[in-house]
Amino acid sequence: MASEAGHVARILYKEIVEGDRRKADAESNDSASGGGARDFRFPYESVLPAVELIFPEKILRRDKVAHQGAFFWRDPGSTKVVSRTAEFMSPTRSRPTEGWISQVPKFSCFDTDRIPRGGVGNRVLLLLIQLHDQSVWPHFAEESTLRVKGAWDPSVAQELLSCLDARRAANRAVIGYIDFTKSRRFCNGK
Amino acid sequence: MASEGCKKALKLLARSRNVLLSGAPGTGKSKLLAEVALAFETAFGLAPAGGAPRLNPLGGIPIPPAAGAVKEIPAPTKMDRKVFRTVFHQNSKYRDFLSGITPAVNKVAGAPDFTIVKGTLYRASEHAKGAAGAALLIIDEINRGPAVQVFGGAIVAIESDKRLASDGAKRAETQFFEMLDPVSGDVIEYALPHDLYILAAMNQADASVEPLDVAFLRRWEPLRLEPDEVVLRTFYGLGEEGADALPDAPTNVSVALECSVRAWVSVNAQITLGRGPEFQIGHGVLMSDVSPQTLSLSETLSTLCIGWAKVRAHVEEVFFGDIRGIAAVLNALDGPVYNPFKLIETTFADDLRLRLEGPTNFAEDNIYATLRAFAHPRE
Repeated sequence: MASEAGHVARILYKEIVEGDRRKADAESNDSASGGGARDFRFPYESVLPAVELIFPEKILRRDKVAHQGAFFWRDPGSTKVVSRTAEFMSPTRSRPTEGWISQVPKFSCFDTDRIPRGGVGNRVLLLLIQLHDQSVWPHFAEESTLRVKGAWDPSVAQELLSCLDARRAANRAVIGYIDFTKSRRFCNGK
Repeated sequence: MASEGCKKALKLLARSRNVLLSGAPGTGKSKLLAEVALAFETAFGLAPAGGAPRLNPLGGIPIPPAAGAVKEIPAPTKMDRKVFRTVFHQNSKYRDFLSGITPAVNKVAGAPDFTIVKGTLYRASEHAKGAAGAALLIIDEINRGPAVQVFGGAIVAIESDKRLASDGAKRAETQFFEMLDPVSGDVIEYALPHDLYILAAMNQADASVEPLDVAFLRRWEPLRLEPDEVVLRTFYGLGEEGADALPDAPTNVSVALECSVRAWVSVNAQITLGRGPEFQIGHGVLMSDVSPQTLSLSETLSTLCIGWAKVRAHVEEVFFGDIRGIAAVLNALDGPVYNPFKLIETTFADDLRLRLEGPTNFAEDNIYATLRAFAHPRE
């Protein structure tokens, strides 16, 4: 099922902000970071076209839609591919615009020590990379490497950088997707 | 994946550098411009030699550059790709396109009262002169402004074989022209770079356009878009046209949509006879973001009213002053009795006068009968 060198069909991405880090470090249960659960939050309606492809199964759980898919990754030092069912939850009444990837701690690919620290001028993006074989591979990307000419595929670097450089409110995380199969994209900046 | 039209446009750009897209209104020119712009900037989905983004999950950069050169994409090895856009209009000027003097606005005390504009072509050209630079300049509505004057001295220099070499060096054939240098303020000799690509679009059918002379057109590779029944049928979710006659009343959504397609084909056939194929109306005017298959019959008829109001406005503009021509397109000369449009002959001061009578606006209760009449086979 999982392809190790397949073509990229689409990428859903999100900036890892301080709130995500606090949650990753299990230091936060504040409402600004979305409560205590470790999850990655997205503007639901905006990213739904990509979510429905990346998490293609839909199940109902407690009156909420859970979009289900599977993540594939390799743990450090291992050649074995690990996979696990992943869920993207629809919004709750208290946060009606946010969807989120749930149960993040259960995925070793999201371990705190695997998230680059980043810093000023070097933002970190979480990438959910879906291949043409439908497998989804989470990765992190540092802004500094994206700006190195020739380091990344130019089409991917261009897309991510243009969204990183887009204008948005100071407290908004960079979020977007690019679908290479449908010439469709979203970026939450202008 | 990119559409065939997009691939063709990129291939023509790679070969000729200047491509002129033309077609009737609603044939998808603007959509294609947007698609080509995205594909040029990101070069995705088009690489036949392993150039599409590929995942490398073994460590390091997850999606490194693809190996191998990509053919049939303009400047495949250039990574700093940028799209510039402009729309020509009656007030477009050489100054806005290349360079020229304009009053300085919000200047600081003591600064010059005038400044030199960096026009769109100049900025695209300068970007493409960078070591890894490639620029696509998109000019929409190129014939709505005085294109020849706007290009000025650059008209010869845009030609593919009159550009600078790919490394920026001057070639024997390179064509220079004089312009006001926005940097120094001096008049300089300037030439256009190898990796500047120009994609222009025009609609020949509108009344408010300026003619383009042959010498100008000769410098562009043409790419023509036609009204496409298959695209409209696909959007409507219909198969090929059957032999069945249209029923008196719409029994379901598919019948209403089939009627719309047949009416549109007939109207275009009449326009082609009366004014020429370039005056047809494209399929896009009857398409929207909403899939008609998801609508009720009532909603479908309402949606058809919106699209067909545009078709009617187009016919009235194309045949402006020719009542008999409009009547012929709307099948009101010898058409079926249920056609709500009628050509009335009267006299005024002993002179023959024609008047086309029919519904002021299309409505849910008359649109189907109207379209069925338009689609009725002509004698």
